[in-house]
Amino acid sequence: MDINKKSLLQDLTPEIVSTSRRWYFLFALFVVIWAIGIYALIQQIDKGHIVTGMRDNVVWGVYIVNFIFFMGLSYAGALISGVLHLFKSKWRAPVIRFAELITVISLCIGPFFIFFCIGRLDRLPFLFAFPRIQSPITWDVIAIITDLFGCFIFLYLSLIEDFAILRDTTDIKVKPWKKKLYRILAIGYQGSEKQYRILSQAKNVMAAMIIAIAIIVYSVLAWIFGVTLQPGWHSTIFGPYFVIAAVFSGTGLLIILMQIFRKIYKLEKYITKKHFINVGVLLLIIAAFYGYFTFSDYLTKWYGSVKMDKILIDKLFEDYYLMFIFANYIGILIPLIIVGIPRFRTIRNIVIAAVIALLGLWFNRYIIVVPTLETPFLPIQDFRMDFIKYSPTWVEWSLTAAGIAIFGIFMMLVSKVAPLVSISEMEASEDVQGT
Amino acid sequence: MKKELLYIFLLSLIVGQWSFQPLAAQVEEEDEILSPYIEFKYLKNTEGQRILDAKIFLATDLGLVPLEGLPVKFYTNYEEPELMGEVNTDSKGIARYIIPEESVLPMDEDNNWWFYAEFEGNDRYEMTMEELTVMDVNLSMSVNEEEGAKNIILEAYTMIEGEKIPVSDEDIYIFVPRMFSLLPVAEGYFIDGLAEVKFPEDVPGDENGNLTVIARFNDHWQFGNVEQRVETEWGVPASHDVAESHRALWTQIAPRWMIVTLTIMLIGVWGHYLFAIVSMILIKRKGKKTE
Repeated sequence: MDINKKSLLQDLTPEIVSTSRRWYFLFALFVVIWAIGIYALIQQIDKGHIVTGMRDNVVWGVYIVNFIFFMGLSYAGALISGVLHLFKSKWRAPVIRFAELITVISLCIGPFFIFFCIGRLDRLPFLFAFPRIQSPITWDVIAIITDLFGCFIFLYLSLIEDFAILRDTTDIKVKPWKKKLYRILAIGYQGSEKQYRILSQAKNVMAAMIIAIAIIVYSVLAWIFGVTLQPGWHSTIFGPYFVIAAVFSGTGLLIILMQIFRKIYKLEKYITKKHFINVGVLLLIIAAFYGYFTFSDYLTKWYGSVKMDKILIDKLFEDYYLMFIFANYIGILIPLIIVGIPRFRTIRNIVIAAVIALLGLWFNRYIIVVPTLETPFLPIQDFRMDFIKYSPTWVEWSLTAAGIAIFGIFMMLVSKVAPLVSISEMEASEDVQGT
Repeated sequence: MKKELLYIFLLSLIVGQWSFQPLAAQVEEEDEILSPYIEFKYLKNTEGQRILDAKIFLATDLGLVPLEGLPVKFYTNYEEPELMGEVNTDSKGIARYIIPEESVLPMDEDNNWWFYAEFEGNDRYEMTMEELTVMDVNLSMSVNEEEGAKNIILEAYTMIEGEKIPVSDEDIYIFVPRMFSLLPVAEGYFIDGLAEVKFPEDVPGDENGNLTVIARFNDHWQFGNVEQRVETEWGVPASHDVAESHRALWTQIAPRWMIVTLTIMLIGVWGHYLFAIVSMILIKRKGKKTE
């Protein structure tokens, strides 16, 4: 590949220089979806949680599923970007920024689903005013805030060099206000040896930190379930199981985003089949681990035949069998087959495998949260259908769609000020020639 | 790209269709005309109010599902049914009609009242009805405590053509209210209109030992449900002191190991953040020097 610095800058900053029609169209679409979500939220605030499918028994529904899902994506992004950075993978350059952005954006969106789930939002400040260290909820609040700071710092550190390049470049036309912004954000980085050394050191430290934090934070989230005595939740492997599942979903999303932005921003030259195969192999390895954990979790529950676990597993194979099969069979086996057999490893197939993995993971979260709540230890006193069986309403679906839309909006806004593929990483890679 | 989008769209459709099939099936089921059941009960309470409760529900695999908002008509007089009133079922599927005190209810030749509850049906549910006959009974209750023994004295009689007829050879049950239902704690037997029941010693009350004692003809074949309630101090005072447990979430302070672990972790992590921030400051300073 023959790429010089000028063409690299021009290729990687199309939306920074000008705004395409496609950008406006996509942005408008996301804003409309988001606006519908806001309308749904107003309905929920006005009429209360009665407009959702949640009732006395199933108090956690799609909102919590989305919360776990988005947080999983975030931790996966952190793990992937941290590992790629620390191990100095040669092929990381075009994908690492996506992983970093997934981390921060998902982390900003996820907690909102908790707010949607809380009946008395006015009591939320009590969580900070009177925290109880012994509560897993408090651990989670501390963990998320800590993780958010860490991921922001890591993302910012990795952007500094790009901001400096954009500040100094004359190869592309950047609006004056953006130049001013880059001047501030680049914090005087000139690329001197000393500055480079300090920056590299800080990035290495933060990469290691965010790996550790991602594992701890997602384990904490898993322990919110694991430390309760509910059937299906009280499991010692929930911590590592959640971490593996998170990386699985995050890898899937990474592949999807690579493909979307590769097409939209015409990055085919930089994000090649090689990158898809490399991330696909990562997906394959994680799928194998994830399948192993899933099997292990259900096998021990089924073999133990504890009364409530048995009722739950029967429910999964009766009321939720299609979802169960999709989440735990198709969602694992298809990525394994597609990426595992070299003949099937085309970009399109890998993207399809990633979509299946991502959907499978969402359903996996659904069947972890909802059927357990439909199987309480004490018999359900109120036998109204909506108490027995949870069905998400249009309000919950709208807010879910709004969550996805806001992810898109954030990605697009970021693309207006920062390159989605790291220029400095690409420059440092062997393929790029000097100016 | 277009092809991929199409694949993804089709895949989402298939997954959506598959995964939420149980819900779709549920919606499909909603198009059928369903056959609900009705449970019809008579209750005469402590205040002498006569209450008719008609509960409408569906029997499903998941249990009994109460039906809300269905109009139930209540009738009396077997010979020429007279509409007493119409009430909609509430969220628990119960339509409750309180017979006005001044109502004079026609009796049949056996001195029974006849009641009939009917839901006429709609485009979703089939018609359902139930009838019952009850004989009016007067129940009174008094309590006394002698030498530590707690006794309940009950008197029951019916009025037939102005004559007081004592109830005999019938069981009566003593209940106390608990969280979800009434708990039977004792039972007695009427002989010549009187029954004496010994109340057990070990029934928990509130923190002061207050306890509501209920004597009740419970789903009686002839009298229906007739009850009397008396407030007593016969309960064992309940203790709400929670045994101290260091592992509980509601303890005043977290275990020491937890505080230490969390503190070390937070200091470690935020220390590294501080290092990163200091590095940024250093980069800025070096930049200024270079300029």
